[in-house]
Amino acid sequence: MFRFIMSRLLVVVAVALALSVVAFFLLNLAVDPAQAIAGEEADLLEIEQIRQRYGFDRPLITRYFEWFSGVLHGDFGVSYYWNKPVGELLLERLPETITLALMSLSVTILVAIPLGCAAALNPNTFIDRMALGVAVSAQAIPNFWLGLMLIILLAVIYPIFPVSGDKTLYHFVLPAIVLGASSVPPVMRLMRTGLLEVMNADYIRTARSKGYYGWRLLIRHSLRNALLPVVSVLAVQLGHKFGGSVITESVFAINGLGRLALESILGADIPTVQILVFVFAFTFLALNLLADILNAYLDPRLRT
Amino acid sequence: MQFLQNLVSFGKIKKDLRDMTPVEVMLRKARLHKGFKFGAGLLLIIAFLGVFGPMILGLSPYEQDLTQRLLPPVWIEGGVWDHWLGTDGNGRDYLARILFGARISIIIGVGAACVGMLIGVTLGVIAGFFGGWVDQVVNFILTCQLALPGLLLAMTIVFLVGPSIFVVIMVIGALHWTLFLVVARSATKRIRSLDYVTAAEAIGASKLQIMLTDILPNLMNQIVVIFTLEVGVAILSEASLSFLGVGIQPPTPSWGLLIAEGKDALFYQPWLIILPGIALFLLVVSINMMGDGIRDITDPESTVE
Amino acid sequence: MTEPLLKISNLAVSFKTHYGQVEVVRDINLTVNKGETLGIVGESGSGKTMSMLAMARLLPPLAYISAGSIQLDGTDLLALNTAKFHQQISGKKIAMIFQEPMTALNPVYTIGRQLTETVMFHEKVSHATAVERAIDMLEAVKMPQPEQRMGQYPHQMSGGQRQRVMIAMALMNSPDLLIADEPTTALDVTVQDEIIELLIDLQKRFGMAMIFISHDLGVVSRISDRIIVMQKGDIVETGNTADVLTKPQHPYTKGLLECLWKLEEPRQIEKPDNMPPVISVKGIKKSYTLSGGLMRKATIIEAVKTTSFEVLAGETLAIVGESGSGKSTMAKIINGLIPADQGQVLYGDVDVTSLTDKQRARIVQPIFQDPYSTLNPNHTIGYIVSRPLRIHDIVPAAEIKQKTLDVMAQAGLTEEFYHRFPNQLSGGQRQRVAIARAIILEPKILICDEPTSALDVSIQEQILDLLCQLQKDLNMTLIIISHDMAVVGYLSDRVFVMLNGEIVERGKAEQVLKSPRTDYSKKLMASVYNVPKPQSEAGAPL
Repeated sequence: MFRFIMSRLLVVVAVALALSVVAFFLLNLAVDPAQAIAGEEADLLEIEQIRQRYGFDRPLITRYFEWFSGVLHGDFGVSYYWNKPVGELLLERLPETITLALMSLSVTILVAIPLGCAAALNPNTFIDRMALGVAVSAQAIPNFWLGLMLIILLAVIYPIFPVSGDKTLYHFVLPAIVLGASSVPPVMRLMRTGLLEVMNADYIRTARSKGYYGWRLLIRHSLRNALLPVVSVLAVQLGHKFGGSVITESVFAINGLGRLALESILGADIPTVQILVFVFAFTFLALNLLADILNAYLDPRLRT
Repeated sequence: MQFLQNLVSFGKIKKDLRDMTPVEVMLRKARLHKGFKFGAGLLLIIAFLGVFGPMILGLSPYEQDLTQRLLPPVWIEGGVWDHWLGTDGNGRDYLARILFGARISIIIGVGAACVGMLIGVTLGVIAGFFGGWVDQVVNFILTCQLALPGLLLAMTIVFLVGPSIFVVIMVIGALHWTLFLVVARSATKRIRSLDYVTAAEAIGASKLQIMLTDILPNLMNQIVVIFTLEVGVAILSEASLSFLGVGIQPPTPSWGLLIAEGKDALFYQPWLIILPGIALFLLVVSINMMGDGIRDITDPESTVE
Repeated sequence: MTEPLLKISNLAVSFKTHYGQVEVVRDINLTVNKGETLGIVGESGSGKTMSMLAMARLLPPLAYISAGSIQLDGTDLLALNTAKFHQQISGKKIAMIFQEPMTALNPVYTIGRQLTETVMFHEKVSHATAVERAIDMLEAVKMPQPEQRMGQYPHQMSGGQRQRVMIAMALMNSPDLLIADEPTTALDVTVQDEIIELLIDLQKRFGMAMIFISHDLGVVSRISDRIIVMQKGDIVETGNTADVLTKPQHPYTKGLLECLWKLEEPRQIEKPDNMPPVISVKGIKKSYTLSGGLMRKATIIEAVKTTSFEVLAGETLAIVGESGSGKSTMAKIINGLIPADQGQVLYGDVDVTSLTDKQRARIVQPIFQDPYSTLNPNHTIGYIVSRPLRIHDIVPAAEIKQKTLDVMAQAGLTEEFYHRFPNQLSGGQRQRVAIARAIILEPKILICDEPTSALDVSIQEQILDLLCQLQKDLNMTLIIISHDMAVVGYLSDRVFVMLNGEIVERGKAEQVLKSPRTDYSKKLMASVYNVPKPQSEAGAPL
C-alpha cells in the first residue's frame, strides 16, 4: 500500500513539474509581460524601463527557476493587475470556490447516482429512457445559458433565490445546480453501464444462486463493485469544478478563483494566471491521487 | 453474449443478420434506430438552414436598422412579420443572426474535433501499437493534459494570441484530444493482440501496413462515435469562450456571443438569450443523439429493437 | 424406486427476439433421484445450461420458461413467487457451481464473507457458527490452511482453489441438489481430475443428488449414474451410463463416441526416419517481465527455459502442455514472430533473425486457435486469402483471383465465399479461411496453435483431416501445439510434453501416448483415455 501511494505521488510530482514549465513558458512566450504592464498606449521607452525594472530582460530559463523556487517557498509573485501578492489573492477567493465545488459535487452525486442505478436496474424501460433523456439534455445545455435561464425563472419570475452574489449559502444554490448539472451525464452513464456490467457478471449469478435478490443483492453484492469506476470519475469531475467554475462564477457574480482567473486574463495579469493554471492542475492531480487511494481501499485487487 | 451466439444456430436469425455484410448490418440497424434517425434528421435540417437559410430568406445578419431596435419575435406583442424572431440591440434581424450562427458553430465544432482527432488518434495508435516506453511517455503527456484546466487555458491563449475562427478551432482542438487518445489506445491494444494482426505479421506485412489496414479501420467505429460527441463538446466550448468575450468577436454572430450580448437585457428582452440558447441546445442534442446512435449501430453486440 | 427428488416435465425455454420468440430448449423430461448423479452432455448451444438455469431462475433477461413444470421434492417450483423461491430454494435446496472459477466469485469481498453470508442469511445462525462451518467446509473440499484462507480474496488463489471455494460455498447449506455446470472445463487437465474426484467423494459423503453438465462425454461418464444427451435443444438420448456408452441409440451420440474412439487411435503412417531437420532450435530462452506500473515490483516469468530440439522435414511434431506451460510462446518464437532472449532458431541453416519479414513468411506460416479473431472482420474472404499474394507480389495481378480461388478450393471453400465477410461464416469455415491464407504462399512449415480447440467435436475432425491432407499434398512440415491429447494422437509422428517452460518428455507419438515415462505425462494421458470402447469392456459398468 505504501509503495502504491509513493509511486502515485511520484507521478503527481513529475506531472506538476512538467506543468509548471508549460504554464510559465506558454504564458511568458505568448505575450510580452512588459507590454502587458505598460498597457496599449505606452511608448517603447516606457516599456523598456519596465522590462529592466521587473527583470524581464533576463533569460526566460533564469526567470522560470526564480519563479518556481519562489512557488516552492510559498512566494507566488506579485500581481501587476491587482498590485497584491498573488498568494493573498488566492486565499481571499478560495473559500467561495471550495463552497461552490463541494455543493455542486453534492448535486451531482444526489442526482446522478440514484438515476444511474434506477436506469441500470430497469434497462430498456421508461425509467431508463428518462434517465438517458436527462443525460442527453444535460450534456447539450450550455452551462452559462442554464444559469441565465435559472435566474430568469427562479430569481426573476419566481423570486425564490437571489439573482447573484455570494453572501450566504443560499446564494450558492443556483450556481451549485448549474455547475453540478454539467457533471451529471458522465457520472450517471458510468453508474448505469458499470452497474449493468456488474449485474451481468458471473459473481452476481453466483450470488443469485445463493438466494440473493432485489435490494439485498444490490447492496451486498453489486454496489461496491459498480462504484469503483465512479469514484475515479467523481474525482475528475470535482477537479473540473475547481478549474471550470469560471463561467458559473462570472454568471452569478461569485468572487471565487474562477472569476479571478477571468479578470486576470482580461487584465493580461501573467503572474496570477500562471499560478492559477498551476494550482488548478495540482488540485486535479491531488484529487486523483485521493481517488486512487480510495479505490485501492475499496478494491483488494489493487492493494497488492 | 454467448446466448446470442447460441441463438444464431437456431435458424431464424441466420437468415437475416448472418447473410449480411458488415455494412448491410449497420445500415439495417441505422434504419431501425429511432434516436439516430431523429438526431441525424434534426442535424441535417439545422445544417441546411444554416447554409441556405439566410440566402433563401434574403436576410443579412449584419445589416443594421437603428429604427427597428429590440423588436420582439412575432408571437409576442409588438413583433412584426418582417423580423420573425425580432431584432437585436443594433436592429439586426435576429433570425438571420441565429441561422448564420449555426454555420459558425458547425464549422468550429467539426474543425476542432478534426484537430483533436488527428492528435489523439495518432498518439493513441502509436502508444497502443508499440506499448512499452512509448506508451509510458504518451501516458505522461495524457496525465499532463488532463490536469490542465482546459477552459482557462483556452481563454488565456485565445486572448493572448488574438481571437479569430482559426485560432479558436486550433485551441479548442488542441485541448480536446484526450478521449480520442484513450479510446484509440485501448482499442489498438485490444486489436493488436488479436490473431489477425499476428497473422498479418506472419505473412510479412509491414508495421505501417498493419496499422493502416488492420488496426485503423477497426478503430473507426469507435472513433466516429467519439468524433460526433467531441463536435458537440467543441461547439459548447466555443459558445462558452464567446460568451466570456474571449472567442468569436463581434459582429460575427456566434450563439455564445449573442447570449452574452443579450445578457444585459435579461429582464426586459429575455428572448435574446432564450432563442440562441435553444438553437445551441438543439444542435448539440442532435449531434449527441446521432453519436449515441452510431455507438449502438456500430457495436457488434448491440441489438436494435 | 423411491419418489424422485427432481421431476422436470415438458420444459421449454424461449428467447424473445425481434423476430418473435425462439425456442432454445424443447420438451425436456427428466428425473433425478435422491443421491443420484445425472450427467447432461451436449455441445455449446445444445440447451443443456439453459434448462438448468431455467430451473434455478437464473435465465438471462430475454429468456423465459414457455412451457412445462418443475417439481422439487413435491414442491412446484414454478408456482413459487420470486421472494419465496430465493428464500426457500436457491442456495438452500438447489446449489450451483459454475464454469468460470476466475469470475464466479466476487472480487472485492473475502472468501470468508462469501462463504458465511449464505448460511447466516438462510439459517439465521450466528457469525461464529457460520465461520466454524465455513472452515469445516473448506477442509471438506481439501483446501490447505482453511483458517488463513477465510481472510483472503479470490484473486489471491489459483483457478483450482477458487473452484474448491465455489464447491464449499455451494455445500454450506447442505443442498438436496447440486448442479455443476462444466465445473472443470476452465481448469488445467491435471486439476480437473482432482476436482472430479472431490465431487464424487463429496456427493457420497453428503448424500445429495447431482446434475453434472459438460460438453465432454469422457468426463461425464466418469461421474454419472445416468446420462442425458442433448442436441439443439432436444434430449436425444437418455439411459444408464454404461448403456449409453456401449449401446448408443441416437446417431448423434454414436457420432460423439466415434469421435472419441477415433481420436484415441494414434495414426498409422510410415515415414522415413532419417529426414534432414528443417528447423533447429538451439538453446532458446524467453522470459516476460510483468510490471504493475511505475515503481511497482516487477515479476519475471520464465515462459520458455533453455530449450533445444530439431524438427524434421515432412514430420508432424506435437507440443503438448497445459495453459501457461509456455507452448504458445515457443510457437511464436519458432515462427519468428517474437525474438528469443537467448539462443537461435535456424530454418535449415539460416538464422530466423537474419531473414526479412517477407522471406520468413514464405518459409513458415501460423494457424491460430480462435476462429473469431483470426480474420479481420472488415475484409472479405477473398481479400484475406489473397492478401499474402498482394504483399509479396509473386503472382501477376491478373492471376491473383484465380490462384486465390484454387487455394480456397484446396481448403474446402467454394467460390461463393469469395465475396463474403467473416461474420457470415461458421467457426469451421473461418478456420478453413485461415488455413487457405497460410498455405497460399506455399510455406515449408505450418505451425498450428490449438487449431481445433475452439471448435465443436464434429468440426474438429474435419479440420484435422484437412490439415493431414494438405500436409501430404504440399509436402509440408506440421507443428501442432495443443493441450488436447486426442488431437495430438490423431495427427502426430513425434510428441513433446511441456511443463513450466521445459520439455519434460519427448519421443515417438506411439511411445509417449501409450507408455509415458514421466509422472506428469502419465497424469496428462490418464485424463483423456477414460471412455471405454465397447469392444474391450462391453457391458461392464464404469
